[in-house]
Amino acid sequence: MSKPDIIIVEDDPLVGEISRDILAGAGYAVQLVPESREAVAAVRAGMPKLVITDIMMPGVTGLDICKALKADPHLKDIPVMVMSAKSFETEKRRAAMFGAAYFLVKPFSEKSLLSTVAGILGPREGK
Amino acid sequence: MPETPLYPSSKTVLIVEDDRGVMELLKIVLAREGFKVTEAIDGEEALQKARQEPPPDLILLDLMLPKSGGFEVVRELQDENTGGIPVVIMTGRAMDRSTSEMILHEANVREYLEKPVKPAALCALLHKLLNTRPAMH
Repeated sequence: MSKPDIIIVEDDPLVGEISRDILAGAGYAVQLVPESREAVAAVRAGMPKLVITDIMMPGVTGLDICKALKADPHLKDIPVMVMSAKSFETEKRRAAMFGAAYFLVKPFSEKSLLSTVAGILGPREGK
Repeated sequence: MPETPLYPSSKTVLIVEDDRGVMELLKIVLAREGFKVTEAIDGEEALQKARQEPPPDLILLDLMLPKSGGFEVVRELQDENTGGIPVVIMTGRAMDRSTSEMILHEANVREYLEKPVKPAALCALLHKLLNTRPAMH
Protein backbone atom coordinates (compact mmCIF):
# COMPACT_ATOMS: atom_id res chain seq x y z
CA MET A 1 0.00 0.00 0.00
CA SER A 2 1.24 3.52 -0.75
CA LYS A 3 1.78 5.88 2.15
CA PRO A 4 -1.48 6.56 3.95
CA ASP A 5 -2.73 10.08 4.65
CA ILE A 6 -4.54 8.77 7.69
CA ILE A 7 -4.06 5.80 10.01
CA ILE A 8 -7.14 4.78 12.00
CA VAL A 9 -6.61 2.69 15.13
CA GLU A 10 -9.92 1.10 16.11
CA ASP A 11 -10.69 -2.39 17.35
CA ASP A 12 -14.45 -2.20 16.71
CA PRO A 13 -14.93 -3.15 13.04
CA LEU A 14 -18.20 -1.23 12.82
CA VAL A 15 -16.54 2.05 13.78
CA GLY A 16 -13.21 1.33 12.08
CA GLU A 17 -14.46 0.10 8.73
CA ILE A 18 -17.11 2.78 8.29
CA SER A 19 -14.63 5.52 9.27
CA ARG A 20 -12.15 4.12 6.75
CA ASP A 21 -14.80 3.88 4.02
CA ILE A 22 -16.08 7.42 4.62
CA LEU A 23 -12.59 8.95 4.52
CA ALA A 24 -11.44 6.80 1.59
CA GLY A 25 -14.60 7.83 -0.26
CA ALA A 26 -13.57 11.46 0.27
CA GLY A 27 -10.25 10.78 -1.42
CA TYR A 28 -7.88 10.19 1.50
CA ALA A 29 -5.54 7.21 1.53
CA VAL A 30 -6.54 5.42 4.72
CA GLN A 31 -5.03 2.50 6.61
CA LEU A 32 -7.11 0.80 9.30
CA VAL A 33 -5.17 -0.82 12.15
CA PRO A 34 -7.55 -2.98 14.21
CA GLU A 35 -4.82 -4.18 16.62
CA SER A 36 -3.81 -1.30 18.85
CA ARG A 37 -0.49 -2.94 19.75
CA GLU A 38 0.51 -2.66 16.09
CA ALA A 39 -0.40 1.03 15.87
CA VAL A 40 2.92 2.70 16.65
CA ALA A 41 4.81 0.42 14.25
CA ALA A 42 2.21 1.13 11.56
CA VAL A 43 2.60 4.89 12.10
CA ARG A 44 6.37 4.58 11.95
CA ALA A 45 6.13 2.63 8.69
CA GLY A 46 3.39 4.75 7.11
CA MET A 47 4.26 8.24 8.40
CA PRO A 48 0.66 9.46 7.89
CA LYS A 49 -0.45 13.08 8.08
CA LEU A 50 -3.00 12.20 10.77
CA VAL A 51 -3.59 9.42 13.29
CA ILE A 52 -7.15 8.79 14.45
CA THR A 53 -7.45 6.52 17.45
CA ASP A 54 -10.11 5.12 19.72
CA ILE A 55 -9.35 5.46 23.43
CA MET A 56 -10.88 2.37 24.96
CA MET A 57 -9.13 -0.64 23.48
CA PRO A 58 -7.93 -3.81 25.18
CA GLY A 59 -4.20 -3.98 25.86
CA VAL A 60 -2.65 -0.86 24.35
CA THR A 61 -5.11 2.03 24.74
CA GLY A 62 -5.42 5.21 22.70
CA LEU A 63 -3.65 7.06 25.51
CA ASP A 64 -0.69 4.67 25.33
CA ILE A 65 -0.51 5.36 21.60
CA CYS A 66 -0.59 9.14 22.12
CA LYS A 67 2.15 8.86 24.68
CA ALA A 68 4.33 6.66 22.48
CA LEU A 69 3.93 8.90 19.42
CA LYS A 70 4.67 12.09 21.31
CA ALA A 71 7.74 10.54 22.94
CA ASP A 72 9.26 9.66 19.57
CA PRO A 73 11.10 12.59 17.94
CA HIS A 74 10.26 11.29 14.43
CA LEU A 75 6.56 10.87 15.14
CA LYS A 76 5.76 13.61 17.63
CA ASP A 77 4.63 16.14 15.02
CA ILE A 78 1.97 13.87 13.53
CA PRO A 79 -1.39 15.19 14.75
CA VAL A 80 -3.49 12.73 16.73
CA MET A 81 -7.27 12.79 16.85
CA VAL A 82 -9.02 10.83 19.54
CA MET A 83 -12.48 9.36 19.06
CA SER A 84 -14.27 9.31 22.35
CA ALA A 85 -17.72 8.75 23.74
CA LYS A 86 -19.11 11.70 25.69
CA SER A 87 -18.89 9.85 28.97
CA PHE A 88 -15.11 9.62 28.78
CA GLU A 89 -14.40 13.26 29.68
CA THR A 90 -11.54 12.24 31.93
CA GLU A 91 -9.87 10.24 29.19
CA LYS A 92 -10.30 13.15 26.80
CA ARG A 93 -8.52 15.48 29.19
CA ARG A 94 -5.77 12.96 29.69
CA ALA A 95 -5.44 12.45 25.95
CA ALA A 96 -4.98 16.22 25.58
CA MET A 97 -2.25 16.06 28.22
CA PHE A 98 -0.60 13.30 26.22
CA GLY A 99 -0.68 15.36 23.06
CA ALA A 100 -3.92 14.53 21.23
CA ALA A 101 -4.80 17.77 19.47
CA TYR A 102 -8.25 16.86 18.19
CA PHE A 103 -11.34 15.09 19.42
CA LEU A 104 -14.30 13.57 17.75
CA VAL A 105 -17.16 12.70 20.01
CA LYS A 106 -18.82 9.35 19.33
CA PRO A 107 -21.36 8.77 17.94
CA PHE A 108 -20.20 10.82 15.02
CA SER A 109 -21.95 11.52 11.74
CA GLU A 110 -20.40 11.16 8.31
CA LYS A 111 -20.44 14.94 8.03
CA SER A 112 -18.73 15.60 11.38
CA LEU A 113 -15.97 13.07 10.64
CA LEU A 114 -15.30 14.55 7.21
CA SER A 115 -15.42 18.17 8.35
CA THR A 116 -13.13 17.51 11.32
CA VAL A 117 -10.57 15.70 9.16
CA ALA A 118 -10.85 18.31 6.39
CA GLY A 119 -10.21 20.98 9.02
CA ILE A 120 -6.93 19.27 9.91
CA LEU A 121 -5.71 18.04 6.52
CA GLY A 122 -7.63 20.18 4.06
CA PRO A 123 -10.34 18.79 1.78
CA ARG A 124 -9.66 16.28 -0.95
CA GLU A 125 -11.07 16.57 -4.43
CA GLY A 126 -11.40 13.13 -6.02
CA LYS A 127 -8.81 10.40 -5.55
CA MET B 1 -35.01 -19.41 -11.98
CA PRO B 2 -33.76 -17.07 -9.27
CA GLU B 3 -35.45 -13.68 -9.15
CA THR B 4 -33.62 -10.71 -10.64
CA PRO B 5 -31.81 -8.85 -7.84
CA LEU B 6 -33.44 -5.62 -6.74
CA TYR B 7 -31.95 -2.26 -5.92
CA PRO B 8 -31.37 -1.76 -2.18
CA SER B 9 -33.27 1.54 -2.40
CA SER B 10 -36.46 -0.49 -2.86
CA LYS B 11 -36.02 -2.08 0.59
CA THR B 12 -36.52 -0.61 4.05
CA VAL B 13 -34.60 -1.96 7.02
CA LEU B 14 -35.84 -1.24 10.55
CA ILE B 15 -32.88 -0.99 12.94
CA VAL B 16 -33.77 -1.65 16.58
CA GLU B 17 -30.89 -0.61 18.81
CA ASP B 18 -30.78 1.29 22.10
CA ASP B 19 -27.11 2.30 21.88
CA ARG B 20 -27.16 5.61 20.03
CA GLY B 21 -23.56 5.26 18.88
CA VAL B 22 -24.12 1.84 17.34
CA MET B 23 -27.40 3.04 15.83
CA GLU B 24 -25.75 6.00 14.09
CA LEU B 25 -23.03 3.79 12.65
CA LEU B 26 -25.48 1.14 11.46
CA LYS B 27 -27.54 3.86 9.79
CA ILE B 28 -24.45 5.14 7.98
CA VAL B 29 -23.48 1.62 6.86
CA LEU B 30 -26.95 0.75 5.54
CA ALA B 31 -27.58 4.13 3.95
CA ARG B 32 -24.23 4.01 2.15
CA GLU B 33 -25.16 0.57 0.88
CA GLY B 34 -28.31 2.08 -0.57
CA PHE B 35 -30.99 0.74 1.78
CA LYS B 36 -33.79 2.84 3.18
CA VAL B 37 -33.51 2.93 6.94
CA THR B 38 -35.94 3.46 9.76
CA GLU B 39 -35.10 3.21 13.44
CA ALA B 40 -36.45 2.27 16.85
CA ILE B 41 -34.71 2.59 20.20
CA ASP B 42 -36.73 0.03 22.15
CA GLY B 43 -39.11 -2.88 21.70
CA GLU B 44 -42.24 -0.81 21.96
CA GLU B 45 -41.20 1.56 19.19
CA ALA B 46 -39.99 -1.42 17.14
CA LEU B 47 -43.41 -3.08 17.25
CA GLN B 48 -45.12 0.19 16.41
CA LYS B 49 -42.87 0.76 13.37
CA ALA B 50 -43.13 -2.86 12.25
CA ARG B 51 -46.93 -2.53 12.22
CA GLN B 52 -46.95 0.66 10.18
CA GLU B 53 -47.87 0.66 6.51
CA PRO B 54 -45.82 -0.05 4.54
CA PRO B 55 -44.01 -2.40 6.92
CA PRO B 56 -40.21 -2.72 6.84
CA ASP B 57 -38.76 -5.42 4.59
CA LEU B 58 -36.36 -6.61 7.29
CA ILE B 59 -35.75 -5.95 10.99
CA LEU B 60 -32.23 -5.74 12.40
CA LEU B 61 -32.78 -6.30 16.10
CA ASP B 62 -30.45 -5.92 19.05
CA LEU B 63 -31.19 -8.73 21.48
CA MET B 64 -30.39 -6.65 24.57
CA LEU B 65 -33.06 -3.97 24.68
CA PRO B 66 -34.45 -1.94 27.58
CA LYS B 67 -38.04 -2.56 28.73
CA SER B 68 -39.09 -5.64 26.80
CA GLY B 69 -36.01 -7.56 25.66
CA GLY B 70 -35.28 -8.46 22.06
CA PHE B 71 -36.53 -12.00 22.51
CA GLU B 72 -39.97 -10.76 23.55
CA VAL B 73 -40.01 -8.50 20.52
CA VAL B 74 -39.22 -11.48 18.27
CA ARG B 75 -42.21 -13.33 19.73
CA GLU B 76 -44.52 -10.31 19.47
CA LEU B 77 -43.59 -9.90 15.83
CA GLN B 78 -44.85 -13.41 15.08
CA ASP B 79 -48.47 -12.33 14.77
CA GLU B 80 -50.20 -12.53 11.40
CA ASN B 81 -49.42 -8.95 10.38
CA THR B 82 -45.69 -8.91 11.03
CA GLY B 83 -44.78 -12.61 11.12
CA GLY B 84 -43.53 -12.54 7.54
CA ILE B 85 -40.91 -9.86 8.16
CA PRO B 86 -37.47 -11.48 8.37
CA VAL B 87 -35.51 -10.65 11.52
CA VAL B 88 -31.73 -10.55 11.90
CA ILE B 89 -30.58 -10.60 15.50
CA MET B 90 -27.52 -8.75 16.79
CA THR B 91 -26.07 -10.11 19.99
CA GLY B 92 -23.27 -9.34 22.41
CA ARG B 93 -20.04 -11.25 22.02
CA ALA B 94 -20.85 -13.96 24.49
CA MET B 95 -23.89 -15.95 23.50
CA ASP B 96 -23.82 -19.61 24.29
CA ARG B 97 -24.72 -22.17 21.67
CA SER B 98 -28.02 -23.20 23.20
CA THR B 99 -29.24 -19.59 23.21
CA SER B 100 -28.22 -19.03 19.60
CA GLU B 101 -29.87 -22.28 18.53
CA MET B 102 -33.02 -21.35 20.41
CA ILE B 103 -33.18 -17.98 18.67
CA LEU B 104 -32.61 -19.49 15.23
CA HIS B 105 -35.56 -21.81 15.86
CA GLU B 106 -37.89 -18.83 15.98
CA ALA B 107 -39.88 -18.80 12.73
CA ASN B 108 -39.17 -15.18 11.83
CA VAL B 109 -35.45 -15.15 12.73
CA ARG B 110 -33.24 -15.71 9.69
CA GLU B 111 -29.77 -15.17 11.12
CA TYR B 112 -27.82 -13.74 14.00
CA LEU B 113 -24.72 -11.58 14.03
CA GLU B 114 -22.35 -11.22 16.94
CA LYS B 115 -21.29 -7.74 17.95
CA PRO B 116 -19.14 -5.96 17.08
CA VAL B 117 -20.90 -6.15 13.74
CA LYS B 118 -18.68 -6.19 10.66
CA PRO B 119 -20.17 -3.86 8.03
CA ALA B 120 -19.20 -6.01 5.04
CA ALA B 121 -20.70 -9.14 6.59
CA LEU B 122 -23.88 -7.30 7.57
CA CYS B 123 -24.37 -5.86 4.08
CA ALA B 124 -23.68 -9.20 2.40
CA LEU B 125 -26.27 -10.85 4.63
CA LEU B 126 -28.89 -8.18 3.97
CA HIS B 127 -28.36 -8.43 0.21
CA LYS B 128 -28.77 -12.19 0.44
CA LEU B 129 -31.94 -12.06 2.53
CA LEU B 130 -33.54 -9.23 0.56
CA ASN B 131 -32.40 -10.38 -2.87
CA THR B 132 -30.75 -7.05 -3.58
CA ARG B 133 -27.45 -6.23 -5.17
CA PRO B 134 -24.95 -3.67 -3.91
CA ALA B 135 -25.43 -0.12 -5.16
CA MET B 136 -22.52 1.42 -7.02
CA HIS B 137 -20.49 3.73 -4.78
